[in-house]
Amino acid sequence: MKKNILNILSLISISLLIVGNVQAQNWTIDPELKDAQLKIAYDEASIDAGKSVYDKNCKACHLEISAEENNSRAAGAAPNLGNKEFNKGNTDGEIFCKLSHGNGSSMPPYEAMLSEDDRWKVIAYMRSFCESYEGPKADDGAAAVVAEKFEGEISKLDLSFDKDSKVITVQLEGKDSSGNKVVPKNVKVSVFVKRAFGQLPLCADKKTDDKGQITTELGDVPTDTAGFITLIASVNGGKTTAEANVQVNEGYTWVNPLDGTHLWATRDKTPLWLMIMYFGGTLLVLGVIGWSVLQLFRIWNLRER
Amino acid sequence: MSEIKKQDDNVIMEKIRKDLLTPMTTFPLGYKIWIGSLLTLIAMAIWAYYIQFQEGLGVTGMRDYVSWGLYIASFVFFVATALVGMLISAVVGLLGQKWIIPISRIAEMIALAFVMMAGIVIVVDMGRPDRLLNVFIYGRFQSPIFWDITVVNIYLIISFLLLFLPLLPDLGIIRNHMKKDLPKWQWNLYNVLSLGWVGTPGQYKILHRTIRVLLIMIVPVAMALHTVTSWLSALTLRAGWDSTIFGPYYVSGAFVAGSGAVLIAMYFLRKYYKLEDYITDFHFDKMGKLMVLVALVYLYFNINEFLVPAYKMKTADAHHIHTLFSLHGEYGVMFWMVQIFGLILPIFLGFFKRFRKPFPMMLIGTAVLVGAWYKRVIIVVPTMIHAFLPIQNVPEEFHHYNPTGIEITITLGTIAMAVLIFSILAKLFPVIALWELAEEKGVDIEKDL
Ligand code: HEC
Repeated sequence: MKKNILNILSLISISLLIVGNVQAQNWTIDPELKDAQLKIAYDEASIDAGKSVYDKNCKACHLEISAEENNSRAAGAAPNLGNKEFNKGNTDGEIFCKLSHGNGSSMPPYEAMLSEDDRWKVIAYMRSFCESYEGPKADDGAAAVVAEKFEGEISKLDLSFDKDSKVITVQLEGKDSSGNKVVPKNVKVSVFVKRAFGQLPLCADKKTDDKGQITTELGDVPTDTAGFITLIASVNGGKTTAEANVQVNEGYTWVNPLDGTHLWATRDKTPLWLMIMYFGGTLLVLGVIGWSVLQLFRIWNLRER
Repeated sequence: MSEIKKQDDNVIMEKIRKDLLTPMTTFPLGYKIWIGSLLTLIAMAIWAYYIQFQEGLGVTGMRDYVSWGLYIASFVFFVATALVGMLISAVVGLLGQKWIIPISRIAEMIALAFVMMAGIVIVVDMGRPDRLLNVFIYGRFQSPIFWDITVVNIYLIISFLLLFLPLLPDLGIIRNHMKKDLPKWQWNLYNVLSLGWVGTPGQYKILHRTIRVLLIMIVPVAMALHTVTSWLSALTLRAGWDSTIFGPYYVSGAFVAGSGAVLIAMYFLRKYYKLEDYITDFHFDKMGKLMVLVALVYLYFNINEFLVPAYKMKTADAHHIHTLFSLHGEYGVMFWMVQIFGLILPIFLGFFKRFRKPFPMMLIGTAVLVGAWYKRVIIVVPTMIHAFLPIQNVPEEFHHYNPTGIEITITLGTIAMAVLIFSILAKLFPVIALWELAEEKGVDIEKDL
């Protein structure tokens, strides 16, 4: 009898566990959103904004997105959101719900963390990996104007720095397929400062203007002692790069932070009190030792002659 | 003084002398084999050290990340065990405990032998021992190593004095009574060392006072010694070392290690020197209780030392704790063996009177002492594997520490050396202070000299 109750109890708890688990793993899709379409214009600006949302919030788990047939990541790991199977199998609204509510376990809910706008933008970014996707048309019913893409080849990349205004200019030159000079417009350029570990981004994916150049300002970046830093310009995600070692200021004298007084660890001078403690303590003990040795002599003097 | 009392005194002293001084004159086969095997180990270690000296520390298992291995672990172990001199003679002795009289010299001998090796093993750990002097030439008061070298040497001197001073009356007795029994050189040695001790009240007065002052002095010095040793690691910002209780943690651990060593020495000296009348079951009982007491204190510090970081699990600490606590961790098995056999089981068994007998106490002491050595390895090595900055772009072997044969040989050699120094001291000098025994029994030995 007792055994039976135990069995039943364990059965119940196990099934509760299982049910609980299954529930925790579920995606909730709001019915009114099920067939919803992207609520923002599907254009270059949205996609670019979506990329920056993605890089900040999702990339840590979902890694770099790439277009592929179906998700090749391990089961349970965050999937590659660029895969066709996923993009075709989910409406915009479904994706929106998934990332808004999460799945209760491994995929966090973003409802409270990202604005609705940002959530649509990141969806636009995912969709940009799926060629067959057709986003909502702009208000006037015409297809969204996608900025004219530069098709040629970058032949020259010039990186210059103006010391007084602290403005960095990156000038591009390009050729089209038949070798004629063209101005590379709308090309994404990123600028970094080289560091010992990694690079410090100054601007990311800025688009070249009609003259094929971008400008960006150098903020307050520490230089080496001679006043130099190394700038890196990178075009098309690093396919073409240029490096320039430029002088920013007259240099500075580096003050070792250890040079100050730090209770224990001054570099050049021992704190006086530490020396007093050392010598005081050592001399006291050595004094006692010396006195003891003296006592040995006194014992020796008291021997029978 | 009555004639009868005087005769009684003579009988008592006769027996004490016979019992305690005879072992100094005999060299049984067992002793020779013992010394022979220690010397063999030391010879092998010297040969291994010669290779290390020629080739550099590359012949050891130490690499860029684990740059402290068996040697530094042994160093901490030696210092720890040496602290027992202070525990027995000073702490317990100054509290007026009479039962330590037959044990205190054993403790002092252990202290001297082990602190000597502590100094030596640091030099062994140096790839370029010729640069030792740099510590003094360029030493910085801000650095714990500078204080450490100072205080190791001071402790060595005081330990020597605390061994030597109470020997004076005994040396006087040996000089007076053993001229026939000893080789001439040996008797001459005792004659000189006794500093003309005749046991006048004046001499006794000086002796008592000096010993007392030194006993008081050695307490702060010993505390400083092991606290500074702990600071060698605790003053660095490393997982597993970044702890505020490292000083007392080391000191309490030292008392445990030292009690273990004393228990072992007591057992074997009693057995082979036939000192059953002097080192009795009573002394093992007392020593066992002392061991349990200090081990409980140490257990308390262990709980603090591991529970606090284990509760918080800061990133680097978490790695460190996993290595130790998980049986799949690199040091998990070693850690639990040490904690169970070197600490928890000894405490538990020590609660029962049945186990506070000579033989079980010797076994427990051995477990405690061996555990103490491994515990030092566990304190030193796993921390070095868990650097805060990721260990990258280095050969696979840099990620772990596997001591080489040469390293192990040298380490065994240093331990053998410590035991050898103790064995020789225990052969050259009476292991129990005759005069203190006499004093304890109310014998007036002044006339006896
Ligand atoms: C903590 C890691 C983590 C982060 C951060 C994260 N995800 Fe996820 N995400 C997951 C995991 C794991 C899954 C797979 C869950 C499953 O299949 O049960 C997932 C699944 C998804 C899915 C559903 C995929 C499908 O096949 O239905 C979408 C859509 C998604 N994530 C979008 C996002 C977006 C957008 C962001 C950023 C705003 C993001 N995730 C951030 C871990 C994460």
